[in-house]
Amino acid sequence: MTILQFITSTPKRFVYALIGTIIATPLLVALPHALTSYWQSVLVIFALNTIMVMGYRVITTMGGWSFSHVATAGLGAYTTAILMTLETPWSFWATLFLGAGISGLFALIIAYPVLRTRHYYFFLSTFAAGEALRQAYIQFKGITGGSFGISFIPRPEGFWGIDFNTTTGFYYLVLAIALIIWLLLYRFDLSRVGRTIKAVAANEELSESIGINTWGHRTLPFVLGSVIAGFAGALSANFNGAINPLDFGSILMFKLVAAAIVGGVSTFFGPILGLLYLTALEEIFRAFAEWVPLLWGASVIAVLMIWSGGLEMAVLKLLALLRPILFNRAKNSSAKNIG
Amino acid sequence: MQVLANIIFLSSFYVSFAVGLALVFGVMRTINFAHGEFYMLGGYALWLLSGVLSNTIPDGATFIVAMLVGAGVVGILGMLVQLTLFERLKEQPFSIFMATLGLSYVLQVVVVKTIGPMGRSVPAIFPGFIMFEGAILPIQRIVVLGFTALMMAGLWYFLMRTDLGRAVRATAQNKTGAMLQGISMGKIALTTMFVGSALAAISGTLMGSVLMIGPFMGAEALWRAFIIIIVGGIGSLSGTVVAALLFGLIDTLMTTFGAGKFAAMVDAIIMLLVLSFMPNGLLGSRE
Amino acid sequence: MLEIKQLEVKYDLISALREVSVSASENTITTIVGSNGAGKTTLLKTISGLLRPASGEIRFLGNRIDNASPSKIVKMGISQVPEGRELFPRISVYDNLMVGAYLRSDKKGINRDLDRIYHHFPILKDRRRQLARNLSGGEQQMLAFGRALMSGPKMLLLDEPSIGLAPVIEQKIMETISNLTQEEDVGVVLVEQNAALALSIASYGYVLEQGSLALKGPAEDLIKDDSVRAAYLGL
Repeated sequence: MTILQFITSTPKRFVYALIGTIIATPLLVALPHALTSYWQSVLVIFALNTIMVMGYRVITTMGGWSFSHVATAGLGAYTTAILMTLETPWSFWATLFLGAGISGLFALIIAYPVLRTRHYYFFLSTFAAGEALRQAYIQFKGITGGSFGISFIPRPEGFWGIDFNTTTGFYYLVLAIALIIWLLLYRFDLSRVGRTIKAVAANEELSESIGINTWGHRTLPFVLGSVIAGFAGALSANFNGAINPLDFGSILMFKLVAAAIVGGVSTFFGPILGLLYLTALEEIFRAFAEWVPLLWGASVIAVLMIWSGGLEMAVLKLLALLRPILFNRAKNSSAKNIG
Repeated sequence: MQVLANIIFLSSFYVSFAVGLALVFGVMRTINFAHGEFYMLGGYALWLLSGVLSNTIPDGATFIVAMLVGAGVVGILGMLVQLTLFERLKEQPFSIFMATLGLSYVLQVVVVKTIGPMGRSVPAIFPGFIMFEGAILPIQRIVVLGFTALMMAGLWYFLMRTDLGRAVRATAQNKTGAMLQGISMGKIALTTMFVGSALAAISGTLMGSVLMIGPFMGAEALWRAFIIIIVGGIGSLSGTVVAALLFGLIDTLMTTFGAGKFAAMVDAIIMLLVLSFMPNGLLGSRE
Repeated sequence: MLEIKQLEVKYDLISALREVSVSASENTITTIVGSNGAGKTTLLKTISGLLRPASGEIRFLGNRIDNASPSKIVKMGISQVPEGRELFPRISVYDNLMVGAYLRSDKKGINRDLDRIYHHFPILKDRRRQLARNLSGGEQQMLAFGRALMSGPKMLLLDEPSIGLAPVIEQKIMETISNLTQEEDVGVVLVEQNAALALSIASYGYVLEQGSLALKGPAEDLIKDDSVRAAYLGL
């Protein structure tokens, strides 16, 4: 396929997304300059978690809700932390990709057993697998530092005049990676393979009967989502400078799952909206930090019980309402189609 | 001999913790993620009551009162969960699962804020040891084992010998068939949630007398219970018991040979292997 | 005894039954025949309260039951032997029977009925300790009958009792049904795809086609009816 063919075969929605991203980028670049240093940190963590939920959403497209995602991200973090604190430290870029690869490899290994399970069985088995991995972080003290973890993890060398040791500088690094991942994943979501994954999730038996490799189309998103988690994990190790097993525990995992439920997963932006909502709750109630998981839990219950579809549905409905006002013509033509 | 005793003690804990979860799954076809917190509340029932009743009645009586009160209160809590969450989210097992996950965090936070995040322990109610064939057997452990056996016997009697228990088993095996016999699904669901939650609380009270009681004790035990019910075959009570014995054996042996810290990983690997070759678990039936 | 008037049942927006009126009386076998998907099972599920009608009414012994719970309907005396039998596979034959008596509390009556069922189906007595899933197809069908009788019903609803059984056993099941009707003082509504078999023992019959009644009449007339012979008897 030539580049020209690729561009012409690109779905329109992706082109819009690309244009939107290019327009939004200056805003996102300018954003930290309007914030205090505290909010700059919040922004970086939000960006890191956005990478995490984007990876998580890829996994949910195959119909399974993993609970090992955060523990898997930990593999990326530990890889970076271990290799960059050696006496002759590895380069950041090598550890970033190696870490993501190891996360993906772990997912590939556990895919065979856990992908035989469905629904909550899948959740349970990934939960147990993830917890065992976290136990490994605690128990292999010689390598992982046990409960204390690893500290003094350096940040990468800056370039183009950006110093990654400042919060803003590191934000640019995370932002760049997040935007690249977002564009790639969005394109993947619209691709033939992306659509097939959803078809397999919707009806596995039917898909299998028409000759689709259902196993592959379930394993691929699981591994891909885990690779992305590995990137986020590695970056978070650099950002925080220290990691310990608690960083990859069930609170963060619950936050991701809650983001996916509160935001919804049928659209790409749903989990990110959910994450925004949860982060907002967290910051509004910063003085009562211990109560925050309760608010998250209550939000999850509320969305499941009274407002199924989550925030993304609210936004989609709003857009549907605004559409006739914004694009008067669009309304006429659709009316014609119905007639 | 000591090893054998430890295997029995550990297995009995696994059985008592996992059996309620397996029962609820078998009938309701969903996992109550807050089961761990129900267990935790059972532990706190012992801690609270042993404070309140410390000088009024004998410690042994406090132990039994805590078991009954904990089971009653948590059982009613389970029924409330059934009426509010499960009933409203009927036919959406995955949503129920997620909602109980939310509930589990809610309960943890409530306990942390009202009682505090620190672990508590209750002074031994039955202090002392028995020496038997060279093994040191704490009396408290033996009492806990006895009550676990009693609890399992009670559950067995309820399921096997009472009309309601028979209806519970029938519903677990065939819902449509059960409805056609005039069994009310609402009543069975309430019964199951009461019994399953009460079992968690009793387990918590029993273990609270030998372990540290803390807000996260349930969350820590829960994932091993998941491993147990997956390996046993989800929904199969006998499978759960077999798997609990198996992991009690494995974990104790690993501890004995100095590899206890890897027990969690080995358990998870066993689970993954079982899933690979027997996706329905050791004694699970095909759905 | 059982009166169904102008019944309409919908799955979402699609009608599975339209304007169906059926009546069945005590001590007789009323059969409803029709091909696969004609709405026969839907009709029985609605009578038992597993489905709610969109309109129309169902009366049993003069009382409206179309909004009653399945449990209430069993209590009033309607018991169903469902399609595929829906036994409890991993409990014993005895326990299956006792679940059938779940709503009763008269110990004596339960034991008397248990004896009567063992008398009708001696094989169930021999195998009372075995798990239901270990029985043969014919034995499972007998257990399903026995379980339904344990509630002490006045009316039995039988959904395709012959399905999946060998022809010899089919015949035997039909004999059993007519014996039960005479000896047990129950009315029977027999739903069957195998029209010849069903009409041979029934006294009155209905033909259900795509959710509506196509024909009704005494069974001996239906057997002779040309359209029934062509469509359902393969003659």
